[in-house]
This record gives sequence, C-alpha cells and structure tokens, in this order.
Amino acid sequence: MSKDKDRVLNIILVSPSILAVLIFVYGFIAWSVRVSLSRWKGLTPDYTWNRFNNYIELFQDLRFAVDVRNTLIFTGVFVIGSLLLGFLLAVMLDQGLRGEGFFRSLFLFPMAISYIVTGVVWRWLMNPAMGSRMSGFNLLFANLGLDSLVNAWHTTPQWGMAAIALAAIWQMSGYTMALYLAGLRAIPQELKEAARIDGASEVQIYRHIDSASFPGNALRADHSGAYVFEGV
Amino acid sequence: MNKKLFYLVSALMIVSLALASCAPAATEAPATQAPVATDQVEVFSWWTGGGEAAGLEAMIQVFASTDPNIEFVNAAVAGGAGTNARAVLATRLQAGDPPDSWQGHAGQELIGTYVAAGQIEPLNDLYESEGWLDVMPETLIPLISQDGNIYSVPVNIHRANVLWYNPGLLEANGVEVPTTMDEWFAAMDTLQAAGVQPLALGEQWTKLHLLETVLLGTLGPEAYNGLWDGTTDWGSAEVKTALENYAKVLTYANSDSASLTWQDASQLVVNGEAAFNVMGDWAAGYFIELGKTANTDYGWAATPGSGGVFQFLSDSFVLAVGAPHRDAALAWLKVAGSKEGQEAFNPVKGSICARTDCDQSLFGEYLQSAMADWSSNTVVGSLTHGVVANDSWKTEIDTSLGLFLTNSDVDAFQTALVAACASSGPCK
Repeated sequence: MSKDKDRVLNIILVSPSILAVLIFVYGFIAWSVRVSLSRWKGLTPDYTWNRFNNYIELFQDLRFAVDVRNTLIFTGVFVIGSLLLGFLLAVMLDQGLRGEGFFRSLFLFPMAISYIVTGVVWRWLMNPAMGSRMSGFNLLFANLGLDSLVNAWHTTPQWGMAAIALAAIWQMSGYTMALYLAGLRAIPQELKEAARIDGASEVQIYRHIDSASFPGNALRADHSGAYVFEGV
Repeated sequence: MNKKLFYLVSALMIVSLALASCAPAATEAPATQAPVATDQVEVFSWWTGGGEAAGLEAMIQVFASTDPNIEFVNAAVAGGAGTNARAVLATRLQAGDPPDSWQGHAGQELIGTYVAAGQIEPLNDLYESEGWLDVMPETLIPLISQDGNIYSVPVNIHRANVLWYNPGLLEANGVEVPTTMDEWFAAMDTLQAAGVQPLALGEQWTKLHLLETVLLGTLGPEAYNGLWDGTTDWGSAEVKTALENYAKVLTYANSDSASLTWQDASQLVVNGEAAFNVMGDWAAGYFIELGKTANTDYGWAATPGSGGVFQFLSDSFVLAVGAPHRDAALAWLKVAGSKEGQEAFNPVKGSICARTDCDQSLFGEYLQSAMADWSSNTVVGSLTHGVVANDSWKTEIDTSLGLFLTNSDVDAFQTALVAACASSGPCK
C-alpha cells in the first residue's frame, strides 16, 4: 500500500526533470534531425523535404573529410594519452610515498582551471614562430640545444590537432589519475600481500589483481574526453 | 498531522513558484523610472578593438550630445571581419529578437542576406530628409540598393588594396616600392636573401584579402569586375596566372601566419620585423594607436598591379524590421550619416567619410591621400568584406582557399572556384 504511494510520489517528483529533458534535449534533437533532412539554406526557414541530400553533400565535401580526420586524431591522442598518463601517475602515487597528498593535489589542480585559460597559456607555449621571433617551447628547445624538437605545434599540417590534444591531456589526466588511484586503493591489501608471499613480482600483481579495476576507469576517462571535446 | 502539514506547505511553495515563473517578461522601464534615459537604442557591431572601437566611441559621443536622452547600448562582439558577430546576429534574427540597428558591409553581404530575408527596412525617406543623396558618391548608392530601395547608411569608406611597407627596411636593402607583380617578387627575393621576412600575413581571412588584391592586380579592374557578374570565366588562363601569382606570394609569408591576427601581422611591419603587409587601410588607424609615424615607421602604396584602382568596402548601419526602438534607431542613423558623426568617427577609425564634404584637415596623412584617390580612381568592390559576393558564395570561395592552403594545388583551387561561381554566383 505505502509502496504504491511511494512509487506515485517518486514519479511525480521526477516528472518535471523528465519533461524538461524530453523537450529540451530529445525534442530539439528530433527537430535538428528534421531540419537536416530539409532544404533550409539561408536565413529564412524552408522545411521542404530534401531526403538525405545534405548528408550526401556533406560526406562528399573535402573540408568535412579534413574535419573528421582532425576529430579522430584529437580523440585518439587525447584518450590514449590521458589514460596512460593518468595510470602512470596513479601507480606512482600508489607506492605510499611521503608527499602523496601534496602530489595528488598538484596533479588534480589543472582540472580546476577554465578551458579558456588553458587554451591561452598553451597557445603561448606552443607558439609556432621561428627564427628571431621564437618563444615558448620552441625557444626553450632551441636554447637547450634540442633543435630537433622545434616544430610548428598546432599549425603543423595534417597532425596539428595532436598538439591541441596535449593541452587537453595536461588538463584532464589528473582526473583519470584520481579514478585509477581510487580503483587501485579499493582492492583489499590482503590479496596483494598473499600474492607477494606466494612470490609474485610487483608487475605481476598489477597485471593480474589491479587490472580488474581498469575497464570501468577507462570508460569514465572516455567520458571526460567527451566534455573536453565539447569545449573544443 | 506533521506529514500533512509538510505536504501542504510543499504544495503551496510549488504553486507559488510556478506562478512566479509564469509571470509575463518584464517590460521596458517606463519613462518615469529612468529620469535621464527615456529611450535606448541597441546597436550591434564587431568594433571591439584597435581604431575601430575608438572610432565608434567618438561617434557615440556625438550621439550623446545630439540625443542625450537616448541611452546607447553597445552590443559589440569581437572577431575580425565580423566572423563571430554575424553568427550571433543570425541567431538573434532567427529568434525574432533583432537589435535596433547593426553594422553591415555595404553591398551583397547586406543585400544577399538581410534584404532577401526581409529583415531590414528601406531608408529612402531618411536619405531624402537628410539630403544624403547630394553628398554621397554616385558609385556607392547602387551597391547599397536593391530595386531602387536604399538599405543602409554608409559611415565610411575603406580601401582594401593597400600595400603597407617598412621604409627603413626597404631603404636598407636597396629595394624600391614595387608597382607590378614582377617587381614585387624581385623585391621580396632581395629581402629574403638579406634575411628579412618579406611578407607578413595572418589568419585565413587575411589570406582571402590578399587573394582579392592579387586577382585585381593580375586581371585589372574590368576583368576583376567580370568575375562577379559572370562575364569573366573563372576557369580562364588569366585567372590561372593570378592564382599562380598568389601561390608564389604565399611562399614569402611568415611560417606562423595561421596563429596571428591581422593586428599581429601588421604590427610586424611597423616593428621592423617584416617588410610588406597587405591589409586594408584600417591598419592606418591601428598604427596611429601604436604611436607610429607615417612615412617614417610605415609607408603605403597600391598593391602591385592595382595602381589607380580603389578597391573599396564600406561599413554601414541598417534599420531592423521590427526594431524594438525604431525612433531611437532612426536618431542613431541620422548621426551616423551626419557630417559631425562621420567627422568624429573616420579620422580615428582610419577610414574616409562616405560623405564627400568632410573636413580634410581632420585627417592624417594617409587618409588625405586616400580621399584624393577616392575621388579620382576607378572603383571596384572587395570580396572579403562583402561588396561583390553574397555570403554563401564567399564561404565557398573561402572553403576552397582553406583547402588550397593545405595542399597548394592551383588546378584544384581553380576548379573549386569555378564550381563556387556556378553554385552560388551568376555563372552557368
């Protein structure tokens, strides 16, 4: 009896959110799909059916091919880089060192910075100017004698997006690190100690015991990639 | 008992909040609430930096003195050549929430976009009452009209085909100011051999700007005009020569151009870090702001091959259909077209008046020479700044330029330009 009453109350409380999401998210998605199948080109709406011609034109457009390529490069470099770096940092922090709290905060700190600030600062650092107007990383590499590392960063033809992904990795790897660390810490120590007694090396312990927590973290890290993406 | 009371209070709160959110949107402050400003006019532009913002500010001062009880709401959005601002404007127009007036480039940008969508009002009556037809140049009026209706109030005239150079660098390397393409290539070769950056360029739109000056310089004014009305074939050998010239000019540019704004690129010239820069004469206003001196820190000439031709663009203000404050907007337009308004705006902005009766002595050295050119030269229109091509055509040209910049394939570029004219322009 009260279970039904609870149920009704639950539905009533949740329904405004559901309604809002239905209209503002799914309703607008449906409207966008409708417009994408129409002939609307300029400022005045034109809803005549155009079947899939817009999509055909889009995939035949050379510039779109370039855009897709850039998207794939960014996604690939960002996700893999972010996961790898996050994992490495988590493993290092997991060793139980003295400054652990300090370093954890340090690695998490970039997440608190707005994307725009990150973009501006990394833009300065990755300034592609050469010769007398060199600055940022290029100047640093040149001064250290590492001339082979001097490059055009984000203005590199074809692969420039990877440089932008670097800035994104810097910002979000603290997040993946935190996730991996939580996963690593969640595994009971007795299991690991038992493995050590049985003679397993540290690497084997990570491979077989800790790896159980990775797939979930990878999914969450991917999700954070989607957010950075929206910013891009 | 407590539970019932809880439900009652919650229900009351929900109902009262719902009622509050259903209240009609607040209407404008009636005259009694704001003793100083009885009306307001919201004006939309992309003048947020350099000499542009300063010029707008000067005109706002004139407006404040002629119409002190109208509050000026400056709704400017940043981004060179209006790329961001126009997107924001399109959104607002779609939503049926137009600003009272906005800045638009005279020519096809206005006519092809806003007149076609019925979003701006004709201003013939205003022109008659203010006597503007007598003071504005004849060649300008047809370009801002359609079917006899004049749709905007031009405030200024800018020149696109200007070659800025650093006199010190040219002199130090024994280079004369070039007047033809070949002279220009030779000059830039000399400079490059001497270790000087020959040409400063910025982001893609500045490269489109460069393209139109090279087209003009190679084709000449008649053939250039023919590109835009369908009489010149985009696939012809002359256009191919122009595109090959363009590809060659690009080889002299700085390698980091993609990450520079137009101001960064022009600044390289006055700082002595580059010899040449092709940019419209709004650079003059910027150089003044930087405190640089004409003919010492910078010099100018028509871009190679375009001597005697004035490739113009004009900023103008329109009256929105359904403007929330129509009378205030008309008052603003009167100031925009007035001698006082234009004399306040133009010297600072780095442009010349659209009116021909402005006081010459108010203008700096470059602008006085521009005013003389404006009255004597052949006038053609700019592509990048919306005179000769409507938005979709210009976008298609820009897209094919973007691809060309990555692969340097002149033939593919020419094919794409032919296709662009066929799909969005007058070509068959």
